[in-house]
Amino acid sequence: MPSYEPEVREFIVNNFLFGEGGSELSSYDSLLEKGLIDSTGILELVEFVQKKYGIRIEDHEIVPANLDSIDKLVRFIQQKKGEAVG
Amino acid sequence: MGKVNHAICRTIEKWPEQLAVVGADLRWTYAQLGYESGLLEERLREAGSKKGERAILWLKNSHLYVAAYVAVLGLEGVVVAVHSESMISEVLKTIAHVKAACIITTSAKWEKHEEAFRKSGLKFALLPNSSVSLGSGDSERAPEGLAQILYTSGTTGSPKGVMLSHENLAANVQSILARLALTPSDAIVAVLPFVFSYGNSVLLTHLFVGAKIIIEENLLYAHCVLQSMKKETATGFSGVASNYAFLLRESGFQSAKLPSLKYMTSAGGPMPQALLARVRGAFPKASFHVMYGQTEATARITMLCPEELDRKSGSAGRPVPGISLKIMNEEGKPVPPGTRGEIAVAGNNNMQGYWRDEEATAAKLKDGWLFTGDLGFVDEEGFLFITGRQSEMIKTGGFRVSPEEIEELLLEQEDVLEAGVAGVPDDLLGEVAVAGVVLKPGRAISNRSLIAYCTSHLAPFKRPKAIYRLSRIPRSPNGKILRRTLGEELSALHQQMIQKPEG
Repeated sequence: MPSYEPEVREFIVNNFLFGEGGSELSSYDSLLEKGLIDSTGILELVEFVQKKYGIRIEDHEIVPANLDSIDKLVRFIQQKKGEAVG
Repeated sequence: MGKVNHAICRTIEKWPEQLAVVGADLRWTYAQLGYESGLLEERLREAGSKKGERAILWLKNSHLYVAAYVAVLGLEGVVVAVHSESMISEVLKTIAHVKAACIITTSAKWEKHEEAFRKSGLKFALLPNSSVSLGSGDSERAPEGLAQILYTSGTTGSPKGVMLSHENLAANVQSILARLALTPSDAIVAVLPFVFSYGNSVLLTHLFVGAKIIIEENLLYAHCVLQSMKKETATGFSGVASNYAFLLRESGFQSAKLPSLKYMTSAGGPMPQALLARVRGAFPKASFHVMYGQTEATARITMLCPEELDRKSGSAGRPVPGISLKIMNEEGKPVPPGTRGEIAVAGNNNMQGYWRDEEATAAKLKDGWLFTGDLGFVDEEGFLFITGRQSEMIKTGGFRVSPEEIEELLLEQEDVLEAGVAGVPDDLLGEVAVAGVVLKPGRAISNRSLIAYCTSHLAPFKRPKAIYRLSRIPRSPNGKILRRTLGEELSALHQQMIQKPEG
């Protein structure tokens, strides 16, 4: 099973941290609480996940439980792709 | 006119069982709000809080924020709220500027910034479950009757403290209520930050009448906002244009899914006609109130009633009760209907002045009139049409951002020779801040490093969305940045970049 973590992390570090301080971002950190993401950022994140992994994210799935940390994102992608969530 | 906290106390006595502030896991009735704010007031008194002292509230929209607001006013203190996402450097600047006596914040923020707070000159910090003594502080009193200082981005880069008295706040609340006719059965989801004037007026109007305020922390998730509105049967929604644009992306934002929603308001910048048409299409039975206001006028100045939306399309409406409005020419003299000029207003809503800035106050308040800096005209029936804004503030997603503040920060970088910031159009946020920089010869700091520097020094809503290298910053012969020309140049570069993303 592929690990999505490195790609998701790279996207977040590049786009929301501008390439700096990525090592300080834990997989469990809230992107909202860290002040890393705004409304445009969420839309960018949704678009990235949809395009990169060929999945469709419905309105009701755009919630913090699915998107607000690297770990949550990885689990959500696994779930959407029908893979066992580790 | 009475004090704001007395008016809230009257609501508490009149509607004790009514829900006041509700969140995901906490529901306070007005009686509980009275109890909690009373406890907080007692703790503030024990910690040494005195009349006329400034208390910083560094909190997000929350039960604690509302209780702290009421408690500080109960002790005849002055509320100075800062946005919860502000960086510590911004908070320290405000503490120093306003000579605050105390800060009310969360334990997490205290733990992270304890060292900075200990050197800040504050007397004490009040946390949810404890208080920490920090020193003797400056106990200088604020002017009598002052209730709140709202910070707004100033045109010179350093924020200005708008001083509002109890009378200012109460007068504006009454003016708004005269038009909106809220009742205890109303309920609103608070998506606007209480720390700015629009959110502050939404909070106070609802507290004055005993209505329900729904705290929704996941503002960036349209689905969560809509679920809260549905669950709590929200009757009203107040937002800036970008809030509506954002919610309309969700299929649930329509009357069939939210039958309880009966009124909406928008302020904090122009509401584009196409967007307004879409909102009205989604909620054919709800009434929409277009509003115009300014922090220096406490909050609201004019309102366009729902029944006038079609007849007076594009207008910001007529002054709310208690406010007089005139259009002034360059000599400060009133002009007849149809003639453009600067919008000036008078009434009990006009601020007391800017905190410790007599020069800026004198430029803004003249003979009882507040010169807004906005341009427009009134028609024969007294309806206001806004044609432009004199100030160079960037209005992004309901926030006001000073281009100078970002420019000053970029110039702190040794490689940067010149920096210019302007607002460029954005579909979602209305405008976003974009910067142009000219580097010193032979220097090569990357745009990403510059953005990273801004990210670590500015609250998220103030950060430039993009930075572009320019060969020069357009300036007038006396060296002033030609903001409109710069905006056009940056906008063209930004559009190219959006259409041709990296990678």
